[in-house]
Amino acid sequence: MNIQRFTAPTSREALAKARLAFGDETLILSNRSTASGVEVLATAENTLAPSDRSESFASRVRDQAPPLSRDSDVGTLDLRAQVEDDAAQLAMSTLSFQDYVRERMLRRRAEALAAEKNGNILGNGNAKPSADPRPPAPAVRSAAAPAKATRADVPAAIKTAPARKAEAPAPIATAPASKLSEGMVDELHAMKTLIEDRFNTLTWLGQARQHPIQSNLMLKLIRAGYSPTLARTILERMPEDVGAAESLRWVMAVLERNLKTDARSRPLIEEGGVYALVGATGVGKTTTAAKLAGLCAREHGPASVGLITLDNYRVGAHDQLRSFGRMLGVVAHLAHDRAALQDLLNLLANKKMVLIDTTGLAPSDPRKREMLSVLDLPRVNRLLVLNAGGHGDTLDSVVASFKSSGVQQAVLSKIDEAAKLGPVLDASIRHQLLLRGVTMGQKVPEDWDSADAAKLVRLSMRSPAKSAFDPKAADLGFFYSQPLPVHPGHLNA
Amino acid sequence: MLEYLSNQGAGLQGFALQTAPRVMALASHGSQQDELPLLWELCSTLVGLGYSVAVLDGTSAESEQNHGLGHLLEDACWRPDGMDEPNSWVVLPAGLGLQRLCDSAGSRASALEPLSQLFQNYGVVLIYARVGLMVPLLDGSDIEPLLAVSPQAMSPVTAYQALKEMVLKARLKPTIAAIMDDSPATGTAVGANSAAKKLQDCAMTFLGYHAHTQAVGRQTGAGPDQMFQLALRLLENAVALPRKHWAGVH
Repeated sequence: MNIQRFTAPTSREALAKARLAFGDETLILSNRSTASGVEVLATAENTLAPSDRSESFASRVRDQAPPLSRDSDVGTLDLRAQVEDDAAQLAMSTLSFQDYVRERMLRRRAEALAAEKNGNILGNGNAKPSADPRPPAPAVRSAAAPAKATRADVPAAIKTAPARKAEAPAPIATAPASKLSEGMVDELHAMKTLIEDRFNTLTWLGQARQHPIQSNLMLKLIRAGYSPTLARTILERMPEDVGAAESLRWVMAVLERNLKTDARSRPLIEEGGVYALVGATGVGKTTTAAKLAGLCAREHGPASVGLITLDNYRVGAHDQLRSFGRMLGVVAHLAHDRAALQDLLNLLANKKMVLIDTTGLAPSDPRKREMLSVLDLPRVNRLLVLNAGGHGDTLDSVVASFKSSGVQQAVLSKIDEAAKLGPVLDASIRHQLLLRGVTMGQKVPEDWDSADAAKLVRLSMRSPAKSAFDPKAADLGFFYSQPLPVHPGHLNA
Repeated sequence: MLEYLSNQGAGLQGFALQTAPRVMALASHGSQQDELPLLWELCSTLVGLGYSVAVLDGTSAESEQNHGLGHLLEDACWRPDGMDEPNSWVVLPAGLGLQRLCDSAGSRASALEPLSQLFQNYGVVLIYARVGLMVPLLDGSDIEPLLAVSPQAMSPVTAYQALKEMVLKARLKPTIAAIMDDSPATGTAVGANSAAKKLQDCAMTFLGYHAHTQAVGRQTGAGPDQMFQLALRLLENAVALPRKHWAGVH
């Protein structure tokens, strides 16, 4: 290759000089200003060596092929062929990857020895040999160092989670002092609401006492874990002429109608799409992701599934998902931020289903907003994972904090561990969640089931074992001694 | 508790049996000072991820003293040392073997088909070869080879030639690895990005191909996250070798 240097006071002149030398096929390699002007490094396009030496290599390969055959003799080559061979040998890489690996391993070993020596000099006798997390070195075959699978160490990659700045608490906006009359009006309104509520409660309790069927059903619902609010809302709408046996069926039918599931649409696995599993800590998001991935892979093949984790906080989170991914033959990716997530979603655009595992966050965790903003991308659906064994208030808090616009989709996890399903079904009904499935064990992917409203309600209303937390009939009045919060949502009775 | 398969993922074992080794490629365009460290880092990362790796080095040829892929193709019973160890990596010279695969590709659906029998126990088979050998070998496959580019004088030019050849001749979709020196003082990080950007622009303008670029550090362990992401990306784009069912040996 003919590369020439041209210097001139201006770049225009330097380029002109280069063109004069190489003509129309001038290829400018570099252009830099110097003390005396501008220096241009140029060559001719047609003098570029071909990017590969495949032809010479291929011919050499053909020449060398016979020695591989054990039966054939080594033929005598003429002088010209020998010269060509030598030239090809020289043109070949001067350093093979084997040589490179060997050199790196020797260098690393020398460094390790030096470090050890330093340690001895410092007299650090108490230093314990640390567990080596680094991958083993390759087995390199060569004539000089024949076939020793030398194990050495690769410097460990220490990952540190990006430091998160604690979010400064938002300044509390102090409302300007209102006028006295406005305060009085507010007070009066509050008092009116309180009195109305108390009277309503007393009226309802009186009616309930007069109707033992309603009282019994109320007790049954509350013992099953349903909230007094929902229980009362349902029983207020119960027809008066319904018998004892019919009334329970009627209540269960109402619960079934109001528990939204995907029974009438395609299951999650068939529908596909991008789903981010969000929820509190320890609810089983990663396991649920693995179950869904396993089912999708079984139905549509491993190539149909994409796995991403945003969880760079929990120790071993990525490793866990990666282990499941390896069993499935699916690569589990890690995204640190929104840009990386978008990039990965583009990479996995041809997948039937992409599952995004996220860091479990408590409703009050300040990082929650940051994490939800990362997920705020088009096509990304949130799938809220709710622990079926959770307390009603906790579930309410979780649902409210992870609420998104549009239909809120959810998966109920750990159904098998829940002593009562009432609280989670209650929260699902009141917050109008669309249930996409339930998990009832740790087995991946077997312990997954579609959400069946009738089955879930039946399960919730089964006669539970006696519990110290269960109210008695006489205690029902206490449930209404405090004003009940008003929850949004319509009940389809 | 005393069941035979008692772990949580036992149900996925059936899937694991079906997973085949994945093939990925690093195309060489003569810039070994960039490519060899990249190859080393890539192998280390893959092993760290739990894959056993077989590197088929197409830039060096097998010999009687240094057996490699050619010998494996001739005699499948011969096993290089360390080949069956879990989570290990083995480097085999493969210039002659890969050329042989290219020469005899006509009779097979894929030139890489014979590799599936030889590397069944491996998670990843990484082919490192010059573009001239890579093109006939991977022609028509969905493998997205890696192409290293650095701010070195000729690197962008030779990288573009290699990219052009792969895109036009074999319809491959290379990923560009922009090699950076990791020392901001030298300004080479900017240089590498600039070289990769130029290469990307040229590919878009003249070939209509949008190449994905991933920046990686040159120093060992300098950019673990970048290398980690690159390795995962290559795994995603790797092609699984067809799994062969062995006939019973009597």
